[in-house]
Amino acid sequence: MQDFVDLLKSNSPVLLAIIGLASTLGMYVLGENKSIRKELRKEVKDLKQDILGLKGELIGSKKKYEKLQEDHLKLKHQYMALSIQLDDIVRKFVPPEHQGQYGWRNGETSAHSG
Amino acid sequence: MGGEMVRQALIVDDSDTDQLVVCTFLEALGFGALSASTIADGYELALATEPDVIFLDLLLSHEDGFQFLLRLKKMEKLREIPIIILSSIGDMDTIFKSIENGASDYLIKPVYRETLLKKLTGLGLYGSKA
Repeated sequence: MQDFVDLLKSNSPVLLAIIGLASTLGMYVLGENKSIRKELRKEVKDLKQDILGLKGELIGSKKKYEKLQEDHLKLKHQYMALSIQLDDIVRKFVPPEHQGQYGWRNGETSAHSG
Repeated sequence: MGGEMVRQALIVDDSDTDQLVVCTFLEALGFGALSASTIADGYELALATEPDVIFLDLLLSHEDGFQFLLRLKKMEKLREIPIIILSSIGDMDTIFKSIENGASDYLIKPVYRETLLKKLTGLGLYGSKA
């Protein structure tokens, strides 16, 4: 310890250089640390934004999917209704010998089943 | 064990002729058929027997068969029973509305045996799917 005090008192240029270097290095490390933290904070903020965006897209996609499902069901019902009408028209207006081509033999098929 | 279970059908129609025609066709196909002329009777029979299929007329005298359809579809005990609408109305809107509100199929009067058979087959209540 005494040696170190003596060294300090000696005003040695080597010591001053070491102290200067250490101080610069310290400043540099602190500065780097600060800028890394700043960058990380920015990245976290960007990621948060991305997540929010993806969440929004997911909700949008889910809504689109639900709407498509609704439309699909509606179309299915419209198709059924049209098939029922067509069946009735065939039954009433197509001669019996030609009804087979519309699925009217032995009750085997139904245009709107399933 | 052994005995085949007879499928039950309920016909709710205020026309005696239509009731008779549908009942006769159904019985010839091996179904047990019950009929009611009013919604109240139909409702009671549906609750008591829980049939395999209900044939429902839309234009009952002073009563709206469509409201009955909605009512049946709201009831947990009865909502799974397929309902086939029996009606002389054959326009797209009525058929579509009925199906949208839970009818499984729609039979435009007059009722032919083949048509009835086709509907029952389509619903898996008769033939290979049954």
